[in-house]
Amino acid sequence: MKKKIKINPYIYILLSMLCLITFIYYPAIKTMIKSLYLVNAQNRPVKFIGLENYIKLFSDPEFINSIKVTFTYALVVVPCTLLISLILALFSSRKRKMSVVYELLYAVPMAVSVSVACVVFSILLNGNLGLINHVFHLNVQWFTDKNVTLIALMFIGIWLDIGMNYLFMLSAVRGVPAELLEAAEIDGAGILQKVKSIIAPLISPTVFYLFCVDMGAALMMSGPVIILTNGGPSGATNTMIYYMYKKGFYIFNYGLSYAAAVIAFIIGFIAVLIAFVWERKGVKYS
Amino acid sequence: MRRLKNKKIKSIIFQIFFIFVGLIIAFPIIYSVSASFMKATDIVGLNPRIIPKSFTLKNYKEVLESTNIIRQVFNSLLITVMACALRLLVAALAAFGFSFYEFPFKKLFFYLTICTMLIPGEATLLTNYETVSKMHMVNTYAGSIIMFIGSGTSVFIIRQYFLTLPKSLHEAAVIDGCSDFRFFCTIVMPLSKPVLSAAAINGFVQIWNQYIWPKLMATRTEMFTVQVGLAQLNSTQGSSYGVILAAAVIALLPTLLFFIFFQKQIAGGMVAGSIKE
Repeated sequence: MKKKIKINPYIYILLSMLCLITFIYYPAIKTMIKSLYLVNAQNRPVKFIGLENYIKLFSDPEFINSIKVTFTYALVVVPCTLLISLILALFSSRKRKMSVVYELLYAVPMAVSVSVACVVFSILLNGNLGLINHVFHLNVQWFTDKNVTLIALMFIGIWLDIGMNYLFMLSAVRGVPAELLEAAEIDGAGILQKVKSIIAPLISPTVFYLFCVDMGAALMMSGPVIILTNGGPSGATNTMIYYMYKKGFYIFNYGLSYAAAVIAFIIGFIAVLIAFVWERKGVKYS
Repeated sequence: MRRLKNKKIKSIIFQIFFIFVGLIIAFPIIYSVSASFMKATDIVGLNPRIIPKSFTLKNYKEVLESTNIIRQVFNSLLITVMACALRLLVAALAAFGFSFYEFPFKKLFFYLTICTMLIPGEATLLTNYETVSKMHMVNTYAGSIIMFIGSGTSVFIIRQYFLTLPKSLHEAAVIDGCSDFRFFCTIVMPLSKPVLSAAAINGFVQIWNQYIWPKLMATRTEMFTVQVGLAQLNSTQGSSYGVILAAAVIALLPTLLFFIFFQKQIAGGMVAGSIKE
């Protein structure tokens, strides 16, 4: 029987491939190419200049600062999110009568958008007479003091991430065989011991996967900055992507914007790539 | 007997504690609903309250009257439903191609599809904006929708499900002279309701909550989505806190209800999307 090449399957995948190529691969490649050009204020490439945009980028103290801000943010937000969601998962690992209620409460931040979270937190953290300052008898200017604004954004970031992380952690913690835990209990192991020597090794692939995914997202942080702080006060919350956004959409310095996009892209790509490779290997734990 | 009783009491205390922790986690949500019924001076003032002293609907009345929020909710709904439906259709077609056919370069195309999950969308904003504005789609619904159609994750999840359908179904359909497209429409799709609904629910929450792209796509307030309108209201000098929170609750309500009713599907769909096989 002669097999002829069917065109049918190509038709089925055509639309999807078209969308993905047009809005993901094409812009990624175009951004890289344009970052090597002198781009005028009308966003037209004028002349090939090699790595000059990158040299300018790395000699811009604003960009160097934005790398610092981004990594500070990510290195606080990601571990805190993981720790909190792990604790919540341990709380709810055993199914009890009321567990439906608290499982829902732990996961519900997932339903909230960046803008709703930003708006609600900005009111709760109102510097003069907000509820948080009132309840804890603080007098912190959350959004105007350059020493604490990033902390306020970390707060929001952690809260937004808890839900998704919690659900992953929960499914990992519940996957730990009950016999192992019971055996440990009979041997007189306490809660901390059980977590350390049984649960931790078994859920570590999930934790590492979440770490990389969260890192990828935290390094791209930009929504709350656009909504609440515009990078301020005095650059304290100017993340890499916000730098790119500002240079591209407000200042029209496209060369720097494209170069910053590529750097951010490479950093985020590496984080997610590690997660991706790890996950394919890591799920086979016995 | 007594020991059993002790255990029961302990379990109840645990559960009360766990719920208490949950209330702290969900506090911003509970608070925003509660405060949206308060007077502005009870939200931010000398004695900010958690539970309203007096219940007022004034904030809702004002947000409906003085902002474009009804239109913005409509915009959000239209964009979300259209994008979600198209995403599902496009992804299901692709997943069908990937799971019921063998063809040259199948692997390449499939990896291209999955690897899109590795590329952070934020880094391509500027170029995508350029593309879409060249297509004259700024300030149109199409401009927002088109960006959310392609989804490697959706293709992946749906394909995983299609692969579990028995191959004999396809053979039987072919023998009966059923065309592939009809097989897809009348057999595969109806059989795949669980995965399709999970993908739809996740897509809805995700697209409804988008902020940056819809913001770039709308320069006029009547084209804003509710998320963009809310952020704008928050940054406008002189907006009352009560009104802002009422708008926040309106923006939050659809996804919150979705989440409460479909929590299982959301959790399942999400974990399935993380490339486990």
